[in-house]
Amino acid sequence: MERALNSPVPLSKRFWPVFRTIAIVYVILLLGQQAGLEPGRIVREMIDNPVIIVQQLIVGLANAAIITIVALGYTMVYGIVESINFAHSSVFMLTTFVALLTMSWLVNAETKAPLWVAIVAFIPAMAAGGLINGLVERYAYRSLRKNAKIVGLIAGLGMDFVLQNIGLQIGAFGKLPNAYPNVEGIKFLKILGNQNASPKSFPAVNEFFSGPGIPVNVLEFIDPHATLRITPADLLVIITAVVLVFALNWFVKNTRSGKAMRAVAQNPAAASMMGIDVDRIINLTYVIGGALAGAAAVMFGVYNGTTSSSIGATTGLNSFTAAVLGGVGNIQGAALGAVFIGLLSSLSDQFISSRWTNAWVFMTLVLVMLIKPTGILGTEGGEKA
Amino acid sequence: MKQKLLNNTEAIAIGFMAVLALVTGGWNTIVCAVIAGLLIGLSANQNRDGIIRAGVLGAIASIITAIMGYIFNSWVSTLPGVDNQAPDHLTAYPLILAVVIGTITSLVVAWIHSIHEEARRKQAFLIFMVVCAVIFPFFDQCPTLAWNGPISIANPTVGCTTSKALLWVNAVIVTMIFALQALGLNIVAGYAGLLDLGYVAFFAIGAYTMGFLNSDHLVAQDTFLKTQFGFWLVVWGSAAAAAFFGLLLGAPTLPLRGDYLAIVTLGFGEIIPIAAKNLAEVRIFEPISLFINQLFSKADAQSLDRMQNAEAFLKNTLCLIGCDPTRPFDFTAGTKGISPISPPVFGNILGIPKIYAFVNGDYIPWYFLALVLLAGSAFFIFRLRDSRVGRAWVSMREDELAANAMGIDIVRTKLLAFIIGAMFSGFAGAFYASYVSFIEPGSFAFDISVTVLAMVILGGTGNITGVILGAFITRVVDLVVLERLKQLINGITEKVFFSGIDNPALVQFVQSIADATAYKVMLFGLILVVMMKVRPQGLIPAETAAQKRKA
Repeated sequence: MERALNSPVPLSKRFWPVFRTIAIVYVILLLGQQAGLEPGRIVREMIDNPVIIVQQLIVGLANAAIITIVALGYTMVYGIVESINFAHSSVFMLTTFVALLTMSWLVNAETKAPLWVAIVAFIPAMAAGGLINGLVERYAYRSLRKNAKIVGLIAGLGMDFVLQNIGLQIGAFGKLPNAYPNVEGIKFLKILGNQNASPKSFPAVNEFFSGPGIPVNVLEFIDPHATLRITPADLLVIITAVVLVFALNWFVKNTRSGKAMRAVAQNPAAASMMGIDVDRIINLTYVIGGALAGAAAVMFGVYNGTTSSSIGATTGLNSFTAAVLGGVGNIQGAALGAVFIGLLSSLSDQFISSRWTNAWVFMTLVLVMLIKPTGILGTEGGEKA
Repeated sequence: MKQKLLNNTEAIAIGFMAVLALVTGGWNTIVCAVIAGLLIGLSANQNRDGIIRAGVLGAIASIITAIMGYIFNSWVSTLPGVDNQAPDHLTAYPLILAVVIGTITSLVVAWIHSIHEEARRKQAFLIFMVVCAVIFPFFDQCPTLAWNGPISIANPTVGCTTSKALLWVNAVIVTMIFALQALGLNIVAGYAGLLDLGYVAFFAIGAYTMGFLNSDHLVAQDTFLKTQFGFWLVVWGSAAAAAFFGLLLGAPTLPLRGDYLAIVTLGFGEIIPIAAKNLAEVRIFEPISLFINQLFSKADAQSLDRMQNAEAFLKNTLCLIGCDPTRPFDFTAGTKGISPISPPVFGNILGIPKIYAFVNGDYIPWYFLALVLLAGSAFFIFRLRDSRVGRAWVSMREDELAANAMGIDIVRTKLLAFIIGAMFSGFAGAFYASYVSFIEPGSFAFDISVTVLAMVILGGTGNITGVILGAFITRVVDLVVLERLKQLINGITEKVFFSGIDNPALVQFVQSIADATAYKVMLFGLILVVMMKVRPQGLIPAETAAQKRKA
């Protein structure tokens, strides 16, 4: 301290951090313009058309809703076993197919669906997600938990590929209705199309409770000439996400199993001594994570209207970034991170460049790890040796 | 203890090679018999009885392989849709030769294996492998040879056509490129215990560096580059570029939790192909003048050719790269791909005249080049493992805490492993680019990372021989077995099950469900899961320090 007072920090050293920050920002702007980061143009476009910002915020919130629910699956599992469930994004992808087939079956391969179809689709999708994730945990991860961490990660990665491949091959069943055009029971498989990897369209949810005369834009109830657009799908997605986050929060805080989960997350050995069946609680966490992925899958399908076997990677990266950003193991943190990522990607799609959105999300992930690896709401105590 | 009839290695060798012979047939039967003999010889006991047993087993294995080859020749190759590489499919020569050569191989290998003095045994093995590797491409040159007549000893390659030949040599060259990558990933995953899921990114960086500096792509655009640098120089540049990106990626993430690195590398692996795809029209301005200009004018800097007042905009904005309003700078050529990339040339530098130039499509010289590079890399890594850094890696893998207590800087040592791994991938990428002479973003997809990881996990993390073996098994399954199985299943379904049914849509459905190549990713995934559950150390586990002390 004394030394610091006697010899003041030289001027060059004091300005070094400032200079460094300026230099980094300059380089990012220099290289980023190729990826659509042109602040001048962005500011001008925003001034020219302010409504579009609000519109993109709505889109971003809807995206955030989906990302939140997938991120919850990552963050819960990470919180309890301290390891990424690599198969999670593929479980999500598979459940979009479950939702797709259920909805197609319910509307008998029509292209339009009433809202109740989407709501009913939550049940099989969540059940399938929970079942797949639970089975993956039971038969792929459980016996490896005592091994080195990388062993579990590699097994998870392997399961991810297996599930991804199943998702790809589900598409082959789209050829079945062509072979038996007279069989009514398999007509709904037509929705899978003729190409395995091509995007499959969901039936569009465009009516509230199958009543006619319901507008596509909810805001038309208030103002018939509204330029802003909020669709029923937007509302469904956002409301579902809020309900699920609160329900999960209540579950973890108040129920016996939720308390057991928190106990296992804190100290598995002590929890086991208190009579908690650690294996069962961990399996339950995976099941709940998978069921949430199933719910997110229906939301994704209703909102985006398409799915394919490759959607897992992007959604997975977004959700994982959200989970890390919010502080891994933290439910509110996941929601907060998801809102940030959702807004970032919708604004990037509009103002920066949709081709580079994934790259910007990835940049965010790296920056978070550089600046605050524990996340916004994370604490140092969450990290155990 | 009662000896089992077959041990695991022998059973796997015979079973795998029999299936391989069944789906490839023809002259490939010989290759299958040799590999079966090799594996049987390697697992024999180190005494006289062992040699005899290996000989008998080798003969049995070769006969089984030959029978399978015969089934291919007489039945499988007649199925519709099966790609028949062997027009001489009914001659008995390949099958007789398979039995003879397979048996001899197992005897010779078992004999070498029984040499007690370790140094001499290793030497003998090395000589044997070198002889095999050198003979192999010349042997493989004749899969289409019409050996119906008497074999001419004086001129054995008479009638050889190279057009359809070299089914294996091409596959083996690509396999060696993959093995080179696997060696690098082995340092990352096997020694440092890091999960790198974007390994293909470094491969792509290496390949693109080769594409930029050793093709006409940038030279033709009249930019800073006036001439091609040549393979031998750029190879080092590729390795350095990959290592630089490895440092850039590893330095911030390595001090964090290990599984974060997996996600970051995964993301990086996705980003690099996106960048390669989208950097075909590069235009870079000085940011401050761009900001001011864009704020006040309706200018989208990336689409100047569609803009009204492009000239005025360009005059007011300081442009750095791609300033021609009609034609931006084409950096990566996008999905079009960079082609042709020049092959290596011996000589033709510093006044030395051109001695020899490689030609794309002439496989044999490439085979030897790849062989030399792979052998050199393997030797380098062997030496590296015994060096100070290598010992640090091994001790870190066995007990990180103890290694740290002994004064090893864990983060720096891991970072070094990560960078060296990236370097090898870049090196392999450079060779790959020059070999295929054409690169595009699609050839650096995620499944390459998966394949390489499966190679390392299958062969044995931390073991160089194991990793090379894993590379060969994985690659042969990927390139040959799955493709042939698909043809076989399609042929059988068409000829046997659907011969009387007239429903093309149903046939299409069954064929796309039973398409073996479509299950590649699942197969690799299962390899990862099953290996982790059953044998996490791999087929040939690495020697631990404790075992070394005991020996």
